[in-house]
Amino acid sequence: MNYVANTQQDQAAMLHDIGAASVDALFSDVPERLRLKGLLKLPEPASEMEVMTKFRSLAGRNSSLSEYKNFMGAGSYEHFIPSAVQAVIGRSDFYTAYTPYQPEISQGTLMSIFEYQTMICNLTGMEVSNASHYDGATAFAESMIMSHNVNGRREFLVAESVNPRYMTVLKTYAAAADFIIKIIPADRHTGKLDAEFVKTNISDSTAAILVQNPSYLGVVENFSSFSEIAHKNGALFAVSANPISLGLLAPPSSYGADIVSGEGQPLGIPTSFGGPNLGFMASTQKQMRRMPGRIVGETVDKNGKKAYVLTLQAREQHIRREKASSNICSNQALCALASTVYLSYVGPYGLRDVAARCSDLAHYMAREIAKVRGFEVSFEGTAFFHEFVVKYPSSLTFDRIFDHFHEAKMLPGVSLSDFFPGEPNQMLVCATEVRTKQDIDAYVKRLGELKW
Amino acid sequence: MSNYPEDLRYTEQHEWVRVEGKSAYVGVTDHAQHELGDIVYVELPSVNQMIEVSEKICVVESVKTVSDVYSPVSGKVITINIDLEDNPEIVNEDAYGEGWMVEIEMTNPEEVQSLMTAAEYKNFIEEAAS
Repeated sequence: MNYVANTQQDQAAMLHDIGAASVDALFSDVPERLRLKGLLKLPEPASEMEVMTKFRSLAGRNSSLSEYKNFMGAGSYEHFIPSAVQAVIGRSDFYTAYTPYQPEISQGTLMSIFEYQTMICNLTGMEVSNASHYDGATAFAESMIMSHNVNGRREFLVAESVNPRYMTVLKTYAAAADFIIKIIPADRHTGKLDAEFVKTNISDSTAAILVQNPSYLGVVENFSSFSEIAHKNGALFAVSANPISLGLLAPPSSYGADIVSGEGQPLGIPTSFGGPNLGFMASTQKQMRRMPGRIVGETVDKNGKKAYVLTLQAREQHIRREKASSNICSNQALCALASTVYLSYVGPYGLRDVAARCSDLAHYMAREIAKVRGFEVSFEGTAFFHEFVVKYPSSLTFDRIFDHFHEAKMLPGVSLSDFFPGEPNQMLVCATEVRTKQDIDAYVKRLGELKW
Repeated sequence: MSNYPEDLRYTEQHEWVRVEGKSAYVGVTDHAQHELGDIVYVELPSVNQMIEVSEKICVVESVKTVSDVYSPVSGKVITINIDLEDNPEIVNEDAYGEGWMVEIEMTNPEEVQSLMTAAEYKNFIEEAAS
């Protein structure tokens, strides 16, 4: 970061320009009793070297994934990020720009968003994508609101096996909008959703059925019957999907999804605590006017040359205010660009290879873990992608497992004790293409060494 | 510039009504289409939908903005102008004719009496402009 000087002469010049008598005069609107008297209680000044040493030691207390063999997923996934991603998004044209307020002047930004939208459509099989959302959770919640805007209904059937963090966001939005959420139970033996529950609970009050595929528990399902029953009842079918899985699995459009959203972080964005993440959302041409967020369109200028514009803007809040389709009127441009570069770089066959590698390793790992005495892989016979549930002996705690692995610089997975309060001895384990067979063998060996 | 056909009744939200027997044809006025600019999309209600007076019945989207159209009368939607789905610009070209939006079978035809006449609407527009 650059050091910007602020000398007494600078201050005097600035005060002179704006016609203020003193710095204190700038705060004359703040009541006297609320103003700070004296100086802030800050540590004594330190030299640059002292500050560097202090901050390095603080930063050193963090752990970096590069030091660990990581088997945690649960919504944030470690994948290889080609250097091309940082090289392109690091260009100051992209890196420093805030959302364009005069968008058409930023043709490069609009073009990158247009390409992002095209790739999201290709991945999901849908017809229209918006320019992105903040994260997978908010995109999923927006698909709930969008469904209400389409058919005016207020009741939602939501899969129990949705990421609990997404569920929290969904419930927050639902409470504020007076929506009713009914939870579709997931079978404890197969991990699959209860289709009978959907049949008995769907009605002409149901706005949409919302599921995640693969689910939070890793389970992959063919949801054709869910979309059929939704459509028969005038409801929508909304899916949250892992974009990497779409390199291998049939797109949600093929099983009748009306809205597809998801977390774009696996596409070239690091796993950072607190983000930034990337939400994507796509839908049908029929419903495009109900889709929140901005959309970039391709057109021609007055000379017949290709040009990009923000299209369908009239639905957005800066024009339609309280009747806008959503409060979202910006997008996650830099992360969307990262995912665009990632997808361009790996290409459709590369993405398929990444997905297949994740799936192969995870399936190998599940088979090997199942051989360890006392450990069990849940939902036998149900399809999964790169994540699965492991049941450990009930005399063990997750903390003990975690510590045991942590000592060997491994991260064993994510505890499901909150998700399955009645049977807390379960954890979610994930393998992506950054792991190797050797990593997995070491994991399985470590698991076998646990005393219980 | 704008015109105000004598045989129609008008609302303050710039809808017009033409009564034919039990039916009321509803659209937006020439003044409204002019203010909206190029209309790119008209969202129509479902046929057989019951509607109350002043309830939102259509949404008109132009290049500049999106506006709701409120029903001037209560009743049942019996016909919608399907042509507007593909050619919304008809509203700009012929607001009082081919640009009609819905036909409502009125449940309370008395409601029409409280709407503005052509002369009253003309005054209303001119006062607002001055």
